[in-house]
Amino acid sequence: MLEPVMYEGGVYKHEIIVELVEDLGGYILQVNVMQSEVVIMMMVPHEDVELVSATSKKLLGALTRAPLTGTEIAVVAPSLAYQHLPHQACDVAEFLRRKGANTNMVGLARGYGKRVCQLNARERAVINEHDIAVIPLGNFEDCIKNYKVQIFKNLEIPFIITGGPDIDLKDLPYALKYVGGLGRITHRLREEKDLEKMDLMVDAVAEYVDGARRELDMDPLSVTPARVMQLIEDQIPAIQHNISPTAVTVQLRGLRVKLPYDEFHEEVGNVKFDEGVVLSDIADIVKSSMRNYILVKIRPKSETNIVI
Amino acid sequence: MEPLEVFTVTSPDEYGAMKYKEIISDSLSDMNVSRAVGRLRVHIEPGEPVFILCAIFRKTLPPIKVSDFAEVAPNLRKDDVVDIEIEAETHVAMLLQMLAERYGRGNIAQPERQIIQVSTGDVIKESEAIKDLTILEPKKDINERFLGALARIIPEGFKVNYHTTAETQQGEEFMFVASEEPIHPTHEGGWVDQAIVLMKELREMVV
Repeated sequence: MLEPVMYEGGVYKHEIIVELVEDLGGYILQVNVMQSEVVIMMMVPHEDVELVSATSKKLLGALTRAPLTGTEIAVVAPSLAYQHLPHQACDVAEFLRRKGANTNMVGLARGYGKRVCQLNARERAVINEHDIAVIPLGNFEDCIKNYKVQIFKNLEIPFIITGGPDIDLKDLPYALKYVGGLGRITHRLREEKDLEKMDLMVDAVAEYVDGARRELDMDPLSVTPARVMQLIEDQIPAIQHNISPTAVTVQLRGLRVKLPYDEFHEEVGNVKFDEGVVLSDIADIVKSSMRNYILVKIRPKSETNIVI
Repeated sequence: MEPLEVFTVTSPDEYGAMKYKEIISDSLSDMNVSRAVGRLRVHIEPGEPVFILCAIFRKTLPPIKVSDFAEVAPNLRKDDVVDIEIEAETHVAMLLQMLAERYGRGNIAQPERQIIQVSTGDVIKESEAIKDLTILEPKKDINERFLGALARIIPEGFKVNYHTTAETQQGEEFMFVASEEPIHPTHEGGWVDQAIVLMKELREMVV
């Protein structure tokens, strides 16, 4: 089993970590160089985490578990207006990223209001492409309980709601979890009590992700998404010219390739494995609702009968 | 009237009201208008839904004219120049900008820190015009900023709104009702009537 971890340290000699993880059979998902600092998101074989941790210490870096590494999470703001962005929604996204997640901010066209709020089919499709959604809502109990949660009931992915008042999860039948104390605000979340709530929110997401990983162990995917990512980067040169920070975004059960679907979907489907299969044998290559990207949905062992 | 001598937010949802008070005070201070508002009362009914805001502004300074901070007179030696002698430098940047717009940048000179010279044809008429030039209208400026803050305060979905303003002895009164449902100002006991009652209470409140 691969463990999601994050290395934080200096740029100097950080290649040692990269090479070590690759030699151990792990995967490097993202390398962020910020001046003289570097943050590396990676998946390391469970039994080798201590070895990588010891090497990190030698380099005066730190290795921490980042439970959300290798997930893509939607943060859904009811609108793009000042009332909903940037505060709270961006803070929520930032906290998720600190734990390794790749976040996408989804601003709804008409998610505001009570009776008038709605979620259209395209927005629903965009949100459904993620592993989990976090939906920051406002401060009024009646609004959250009786109106807002209703528009999200048809989402196929689990979603966590944050809001101001303390609401019993029983009153929000469609939500996976509810985190109170995180309603609409007009300043950055800096106070200790706010940060505690943020930690609760991140823990709730991490709990779901860990559970989903355990579930995947019972019926594993035909191939690890991280391995597909590496092969796409090796075999499709066009991905190197993509300026997105994560040109290939790893999800729990697949990946998003940020290349135009019409031009590249066959090339992605033809990505070859050493074992003799190509990606389209073990995964569905579909068009993403987000821009014109390619979505790779890896099929589980129960469907393909192979694990490579 | 002191700045924000009355500031209450009421709602059947107490937590919502408490949080809304924070939002309002953040938005007012972001837009730098906290001191301009004397009394403020907000009532939110999430069940209806309606958002009512009543505000009484403090009296603001009258418009500032050039004659308030400068001496304007035709130059004694040159026939086509008006001299402006500055006494307080606070508004000089704005004055220079307005003069440049009116007479062109090439016709404005500042030989000394305190003196601005404007080259123009009819010096007598123009020097009178410059004296009456309004540099700053504090009331207009505050109103614009308050409306900016209001746009941030009212719930995003409440697109239907109704407002009135009135000039009273205490200062300017502003009443605002917003909802996502139609507002009927003539309905007896309707939201607008509720707002009128709130405004009356706010006006008569003894601090």
